[in-house]
Amino acid sequence: MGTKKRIAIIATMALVICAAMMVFATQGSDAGTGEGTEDTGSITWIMVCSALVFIMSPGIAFFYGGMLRKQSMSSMITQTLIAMGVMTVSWVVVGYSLSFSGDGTFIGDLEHMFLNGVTENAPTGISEMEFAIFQGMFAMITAAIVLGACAERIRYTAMIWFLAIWSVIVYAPMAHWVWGGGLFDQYLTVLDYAGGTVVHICAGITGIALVLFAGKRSDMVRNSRAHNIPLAFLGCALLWFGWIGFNGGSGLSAGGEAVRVIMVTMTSAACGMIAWFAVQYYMVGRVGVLGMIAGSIAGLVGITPAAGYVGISEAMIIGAVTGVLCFFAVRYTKGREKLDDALDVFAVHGVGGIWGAIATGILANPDYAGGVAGLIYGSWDLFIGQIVAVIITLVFCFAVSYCIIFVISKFMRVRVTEEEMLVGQDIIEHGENAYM
Amino acid sequence: MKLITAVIRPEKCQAVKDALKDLGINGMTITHVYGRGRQGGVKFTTRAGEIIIDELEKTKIEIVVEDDSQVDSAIDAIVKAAQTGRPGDGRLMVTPVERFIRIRPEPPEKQE
Repeated sequence: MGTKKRIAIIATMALVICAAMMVFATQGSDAGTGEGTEDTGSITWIMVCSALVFIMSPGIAFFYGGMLRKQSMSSMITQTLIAMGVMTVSWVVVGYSLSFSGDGTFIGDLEHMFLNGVTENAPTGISEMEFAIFQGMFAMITAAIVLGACAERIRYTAMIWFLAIWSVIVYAPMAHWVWGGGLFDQYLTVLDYAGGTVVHICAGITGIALVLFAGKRSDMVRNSRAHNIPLAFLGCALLWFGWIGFNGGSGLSAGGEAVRVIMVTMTSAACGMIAWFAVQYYMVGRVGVLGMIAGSIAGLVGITPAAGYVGISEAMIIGAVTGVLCFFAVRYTKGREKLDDALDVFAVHGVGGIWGAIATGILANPDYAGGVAGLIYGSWDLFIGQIVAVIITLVFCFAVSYCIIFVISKFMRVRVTEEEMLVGQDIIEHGENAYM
Repeated sequence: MKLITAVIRPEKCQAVKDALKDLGINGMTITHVYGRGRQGGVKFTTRAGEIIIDELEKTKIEIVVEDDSQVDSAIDAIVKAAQTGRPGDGRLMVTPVERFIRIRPEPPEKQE
């Protein structure tokens, strides 16, 4: 029985590898075309940005792991690693095609399966393959963010199955609706520069769905404090560093727009951190590393959907308001008994993303990249479009994620038991202590 | 004069502290320790077989009760606060103390 299963697994893997090799072989034949005046500046910049966005996923492992108990550090790292693996494979096999190929309203088609027909050469701008690399990094970071909400209670195997299914039926449609010419493009006026809805609201509400399904952690685990502040700070630094490419590369070119976007991003992050500091100092009386890093991440999340469409002063408003909103969101969710969002993913990414999307509808400047006017320039279209987009994202991602985890729970145990929780997933599931 | 050493579940530590505070016992030493009980650890089943975790996280509380008449009520309070009824609730040891000396001089004897 065991041997048969193993043979079946090896055979499946061999098939997958063969398929991939065949596709790459056919693709190699039409390489070498498109020589001439390449936009090397943009090609280089987007490659650098892809690398910057990549480092956010390992950064997430430090950021979240540092804020958990010491018994969950290895568990967080392994979950992040498998998220990077699963999302990348899913992205090259079907994810990219479902997101960016075809004009379907709800989802793309399978024309570019295994990146078939996606060329690495581009006469102008960046090539389609480079775009696929850059977007693939976004899929990875979105999955990694989800892990923070449901940390310390979902079994590793269940999480892998969840991510594999989620990447195809939640992430791919979301990316298709917003960037791939689907639902939002066809029926609404929606602007999302670098993924406020696709990445942050989607990850936040998916986390909430998992948290509500799997239930809260045991009180002892829940009341334990962050075990390693320096690691959490390192994670925040990597996230902030990566965010420069996350927003700066989303214009898909190396020009003045990218420069302005990075300036706007830095401004908003700084304002978010200072606003969080101010409100926490006023309410609690003291501020530490954890508050300041949450504030800076909140500021970065808030500016993500708006980065290309606003100027410096608007960015300051967006960042400061995100810092304050997310602070109160964290206080609210921490007080809810059932809503055990371990690392405040919804309070920071979800609430920050929702405000960022709505702020884009209010403050978007028609002179900038999008060319669409926000509420303060007298146009209601964008404002209404953004609100509808946020609501659709919330409902869709929550409902589908909840269904996925419900179906998975019929086939395997999803939640770790109380005893396992107390010993910690590091030992129970991985057999590796993070610290001796 | 007795030394009470209680090894309890970490999540019950706050409850025990509160219960002792109600009796007027505030001084204590708390240590995070690892150990196992009569069952020899906890057994978990994985895909490849069974694993036994024989170093479980516990919290050790040490209290010196100077008034012998208070010892029984302190024991009762700890047992009541730390009990869940499941394996792993812990142990409680009472040992005699020969001498008990404060390092800081008593305030009436010497002004600071």
